[in-house]
Amino acid sequence: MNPALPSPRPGRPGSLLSLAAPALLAVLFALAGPQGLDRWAFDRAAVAAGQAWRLASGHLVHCDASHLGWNLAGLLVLGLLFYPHLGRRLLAALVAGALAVDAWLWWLSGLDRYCGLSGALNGILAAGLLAWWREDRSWPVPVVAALCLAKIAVESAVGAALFTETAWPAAPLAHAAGFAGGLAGEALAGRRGKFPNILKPIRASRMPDAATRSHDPA
Amino acid sequence: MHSPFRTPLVLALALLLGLCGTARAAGLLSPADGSLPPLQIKSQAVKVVIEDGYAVTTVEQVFSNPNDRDLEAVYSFPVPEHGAVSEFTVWIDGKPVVGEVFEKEEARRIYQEEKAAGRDAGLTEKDGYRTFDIRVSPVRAGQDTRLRLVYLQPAQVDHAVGRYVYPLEEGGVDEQRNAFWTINDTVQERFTFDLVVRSALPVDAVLVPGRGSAVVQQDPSGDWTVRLDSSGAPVAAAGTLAMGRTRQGAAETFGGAVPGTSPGLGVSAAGVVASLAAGNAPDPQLSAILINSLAALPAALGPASAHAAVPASGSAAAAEEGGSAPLAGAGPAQVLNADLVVYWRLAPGQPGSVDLVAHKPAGANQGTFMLVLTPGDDLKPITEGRDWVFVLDMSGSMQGKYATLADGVGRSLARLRPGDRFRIVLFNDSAQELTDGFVPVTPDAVAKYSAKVANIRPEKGTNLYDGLKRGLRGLDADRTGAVVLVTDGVANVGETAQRKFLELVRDQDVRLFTFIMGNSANRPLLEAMAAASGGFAQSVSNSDDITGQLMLAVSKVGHQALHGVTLDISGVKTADLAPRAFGSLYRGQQLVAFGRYFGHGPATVRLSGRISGEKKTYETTFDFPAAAERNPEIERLMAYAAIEDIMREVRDFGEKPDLRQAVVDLGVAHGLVTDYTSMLVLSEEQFTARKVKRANRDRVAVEETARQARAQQPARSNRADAAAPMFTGNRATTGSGAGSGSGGGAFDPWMLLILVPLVLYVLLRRRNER
Repeated sequence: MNPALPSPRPGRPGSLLSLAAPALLAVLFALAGPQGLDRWAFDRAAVAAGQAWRLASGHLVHCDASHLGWNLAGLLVLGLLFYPHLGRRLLAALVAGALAVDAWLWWLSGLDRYCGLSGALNGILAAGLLAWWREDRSWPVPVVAALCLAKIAVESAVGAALFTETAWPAAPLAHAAGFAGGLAGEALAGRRGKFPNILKPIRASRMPDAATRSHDPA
Repeated sequence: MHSPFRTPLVLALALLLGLCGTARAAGLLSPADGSLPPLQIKSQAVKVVIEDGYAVTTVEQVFSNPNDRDLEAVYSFPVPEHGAVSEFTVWIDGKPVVGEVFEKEEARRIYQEEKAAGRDAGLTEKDGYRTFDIRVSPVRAGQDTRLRLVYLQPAQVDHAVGRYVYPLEEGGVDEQRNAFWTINDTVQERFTFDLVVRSALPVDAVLVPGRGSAVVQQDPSGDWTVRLDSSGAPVAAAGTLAMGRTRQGAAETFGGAVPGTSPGLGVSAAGVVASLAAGNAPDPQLSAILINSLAALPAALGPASAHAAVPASGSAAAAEEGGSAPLAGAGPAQVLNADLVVYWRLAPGQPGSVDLVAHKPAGANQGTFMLVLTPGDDLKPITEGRDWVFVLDMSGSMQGKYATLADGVGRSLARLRPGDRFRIVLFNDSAQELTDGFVPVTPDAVAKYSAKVANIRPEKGTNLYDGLKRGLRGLDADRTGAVVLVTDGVANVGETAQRKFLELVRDQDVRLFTFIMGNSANRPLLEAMAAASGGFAQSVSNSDDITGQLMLAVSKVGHQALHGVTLDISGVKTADLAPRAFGSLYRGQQLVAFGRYFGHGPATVRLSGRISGEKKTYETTFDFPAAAERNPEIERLMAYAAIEDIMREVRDFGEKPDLRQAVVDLGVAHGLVTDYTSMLVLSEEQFTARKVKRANRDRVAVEETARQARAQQPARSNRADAAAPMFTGNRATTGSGAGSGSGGGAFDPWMLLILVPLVLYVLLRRRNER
């Protein structure tokens, strides 16, 4: 056992509950069946005609059960993994990812329809990795970040998901957009003073005892 | 009386010929009994220009007679899809003489007279849906004869991917013909293929599956060119162009000339090669990867890549070093027994549009037009479970294609969704069901039946009617159903009348999706059946990127469609709109319509149909031009579309004198080779002596002038609805590009696996704390 390993931060299970709302909504939308997909998915023409809510609801509807299942699993795992580091910002990171995906959809992608939570989930992933890295420079963080970015890059290059299949074709660039959104949101939160140590991150070996830390807004 | 031994004997002979590589190809025909010595194809040069919504293919070849007596050359090649032969020229006494069109019987009579008199003559005839046959007499002893053939086709663009096929592989479906003729399909000295894609919309990739020696490059003006040269003539080296998009792959045996290698097997091998390149076993994602990375897989596909890996590197290396790249081996020939397929893909994000290409000489009251409607991607995916019936041809004529079929069916089954069910019906002389009623889609069932289909050995005749009837039996009225028919489409056992087939399909409330294998299929019948059911027919060549084609089909079938399509034009008087009926418009498809117009000025164009029972109308307004002389070929394309309409009626209701006369009139007036008209070349003196009006010669001259003028100008946008777009959104693609409904991809197990180091780290840390 390596005695130099830093202690984990105290958990904030309450912050994890903030993700229950999007999960519940995703399930409710799924119960509506194909009609729900038609009514709530991002649809460029419908949004242009005034149905702006599709920019939000599009992330919560899924094209099939498999699509929904894997994304809910992803939401749970990311929440469990990152809530000690993001706290209440878990939901904010999800929203940042979703906003970035929306921006990509509207201005850059040319896509006419879109659905699914996975783009926004990449927001949590990026924000969580950044928050974790700022805290203790744990070695797995850059490794995981590199692997995630490599997967996103490869899938974006070939224009398809390599390992999964959904009823609607994959749009890997949405993952890239979500990742960028989460990263930007978390960095912006730090610049606004919530994380005074962002420029001088605490080194793992000098990390104070968890109980004495004061920079956690949660 | 049908002898019980006849079919097996003929099949055995056909199989033997197939194994010898002497049949099922374009080439020079000679009697199988050896009564006449064979001629040779000395050279063949193919030039294709794809621009303004249609392709112009020019085939120039030289026949050589090494024998000591004059002979007649008979060259046969498969009918290109919607291909209208517009020029047939034979060099007589060193000068090119352009042919004229006559009624078929008259042309043949005159040709025979000239041939008997020992005078130079040439004849191009259409043998139904199967082949164009060219006769030239005489090819003098020890001399060469040069000839040129030009044909026009509307360009095929589906899901923003264009597809051009130079058909060479004869389907082998005409047993009597195969038994009577042997085919010399070897080009002795030089074969060249030059294709240029000129598009105002950006093209971001071009692919030539299975043709590793093809040099694909983009010039600074944005035009894409494909060049194949079997003679070792210098070709541009990789990386020498400004755009830096030159690609050259493996040296290869053109036309799958590797002994014992069937093109069908080659395509299957290609799938494996591409799958390995993608880092995983063959899977449903392959199609998307293929379509989305056409440019990234230049030489991974096709039989050549599997069999010519070693010479490949040498050839490619030579090109990369800046030198010329001799592409042919020491042998003299190319073998014309496999199609040459070229794909070009438009850059993502192209809008739906209406393109108008018109021809109207200055001062004329009447013009002709081609309208190409490319809808935006507004057809929604279908998500509820469906029933699929696969009706598969396992007749003897499917040999050489069956591996492709089995590969495609396996991939199709793998793409069915949970909640779907399927049945598989096979037919040759009779029909049999491979499944026992509908089978729910499970991985085990898919694997089991894919293997069963792959293990079938094609044999016997083609009782298409029986197969289809069996497939249509037992459909569940409470579930949405679709019948997928895969065949080379020549019904020769049981019921064969087109009318009966249409009645059979119309009796059922089910969509029929037909995949037409090979070039000699009864395409008119299969297209008519699909249209009658509201489905679609899709041609598949053995040289196709079969997986990519499958993706296109899956995308279409997996989305709603616009059914009962009508096109109305008001504001400008129009007439003779062809085709008369448009049927259904599926996701990614274009609607191509031809017609005449009178006068000029603003016209309102309205596209209507029903989506899931609800009426849907698209509308726009634009000007029809007062004069347009850039594309005189539109007149012939319009006439040929009208002829195809009439021929559809002939096949439905039988030949009637007025229908036949209408085809003859259109064919003669527009210089087109049809089922009832042929193109005849005589010496200029004989044309004059017979008082033949040289209308086609004059038309050819006008078209040639226009082609030369176009070549000097940049590619032009023909979009007519830019000011008032008819469609919202971008056109459909197969992948994640513009215009595609998208799930964004699930947060998949691999992503969860990537997170494992973090989980382990946390667990380790907690354990350390304790």
